[in-house]
Amino acid sequence: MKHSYYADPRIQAFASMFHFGVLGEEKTQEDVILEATGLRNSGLNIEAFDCEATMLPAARDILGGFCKLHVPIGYPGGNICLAQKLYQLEYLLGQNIDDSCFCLDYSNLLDNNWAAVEAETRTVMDMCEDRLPMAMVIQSTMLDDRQIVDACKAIIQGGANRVKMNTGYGWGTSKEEVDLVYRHFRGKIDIHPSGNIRNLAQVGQFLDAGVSIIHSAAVYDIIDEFAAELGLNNSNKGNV
Amino acid sequence: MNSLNDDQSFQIIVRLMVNDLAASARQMADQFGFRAEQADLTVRALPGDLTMLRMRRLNQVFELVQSNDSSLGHGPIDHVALNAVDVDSAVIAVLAKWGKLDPDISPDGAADIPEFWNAGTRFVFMQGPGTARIEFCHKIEDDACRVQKLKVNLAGHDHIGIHCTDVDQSRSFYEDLNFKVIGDFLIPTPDGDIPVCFLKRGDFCVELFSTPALRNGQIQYAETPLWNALILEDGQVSASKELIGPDGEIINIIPTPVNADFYMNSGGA
Repeated sequence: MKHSYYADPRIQAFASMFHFGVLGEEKTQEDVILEATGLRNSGLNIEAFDCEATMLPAARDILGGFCKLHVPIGYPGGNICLAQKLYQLEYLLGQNIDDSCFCLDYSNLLDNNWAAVEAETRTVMDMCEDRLPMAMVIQSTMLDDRQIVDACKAIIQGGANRVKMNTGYGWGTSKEEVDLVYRHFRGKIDIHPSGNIRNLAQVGQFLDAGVSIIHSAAVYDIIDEFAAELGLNNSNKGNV
Repeated sequence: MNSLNDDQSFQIIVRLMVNDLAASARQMADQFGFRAEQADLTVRALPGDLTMLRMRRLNQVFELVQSNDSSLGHGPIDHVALNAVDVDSAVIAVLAKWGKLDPDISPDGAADIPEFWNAGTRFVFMQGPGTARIEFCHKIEDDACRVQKLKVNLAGHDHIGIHCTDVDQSRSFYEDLNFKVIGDFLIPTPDGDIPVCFLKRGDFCVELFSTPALRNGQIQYAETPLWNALILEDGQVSASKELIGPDGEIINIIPTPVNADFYMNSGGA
């Protein structure tokens, strides 16, 4: 275990809201193996490890049930055709994956084609019902406030209740974007900030908006920061 | 007896009978954020012969016990409540993981009980393993400082709800176990009043309530309750004993293990 304080219930509860992983076209299987091994050895019990579908066997092999596996669909572009994204979803359902997110067709979002957003969401959620927790990705940085609200409305009308604000991967989620969705849809949609979340202060801001899932590549640093705030001893640092 | 004071050495572990231990552990982890107490156990890879698993979220520990009894149902230990800063957000987070609302109590989601405390309580009942009731609740007079202290929306123990036939009789029983009354309320309903009494010991709270339906015999306890027993770890006792509460609830009192790692002071009702 990297730090003895990873076993502290306060750290465990805090860690239980984080997604962390290795995503992106330039990432290799070696990257996945390295990060998954580091996570497993750290003993840090996060919500889910994120990886791409092709990396699933490697992640599963290393993590062996240690945490949930989250695999995004249509990541990060969203602009592959619906049939291809549904093929990915079918594959992941067959793999009994634990958690996923679905990049909506961004052209529909940018064109204010909310009927198409709703229909795409409905198709996905009908396949996932009672099986796979699914977040719809809206890439909010590309949208203005009105579009973010309309996108969430279409998602809810399409039968989903989770929105991932961005893919990360260079796209960040702002407090203002999360606050906007929270103001309009409190209790109707579960908000997942993702991207550019690097410190405890940012996490605290999102918690004020009822957030319970956060995607961050800086999870170890954020947890170290929280442990320091709690006054937990950092002297047991060892090799991961 | 150990050197911890009562607040530190006292905790209540709630035993939950389940028909599928692995699936129940997974549900507790995935939907409610609980973790196996034994660090080497992960809920997705439990040993096949495991018959008991303790799971913790902050200061609330559940003891999941495998049972082959197919008639598990609601008993006098009616529910366990977790403290939520934002109940509505906590609910949608669980629903998004295909969790379910309790259809008997919260079919429409979160609601308020204005009679409780100074400003009321917002609450919801979710279905845990085998339909065991898990409540999320928030005292509205509380400010949001807890979320910034614990850095979670859904926290740990808030209270344990005991559905009793006679609140006064149960109050006397729990007072004998060193619980102190912290609140008495009366909720009027068309079918009759629901008296409610909250008692606290250390960081742990029990809610005694009596519904007209139970008093009139319209509902009865299941023979084997889902929430099956309260395990009181008590630093003030030196030997284990089992008590039976006024409505048949099982209370196991055991000395607090001296090497227990964590005692949380994260607040409750």
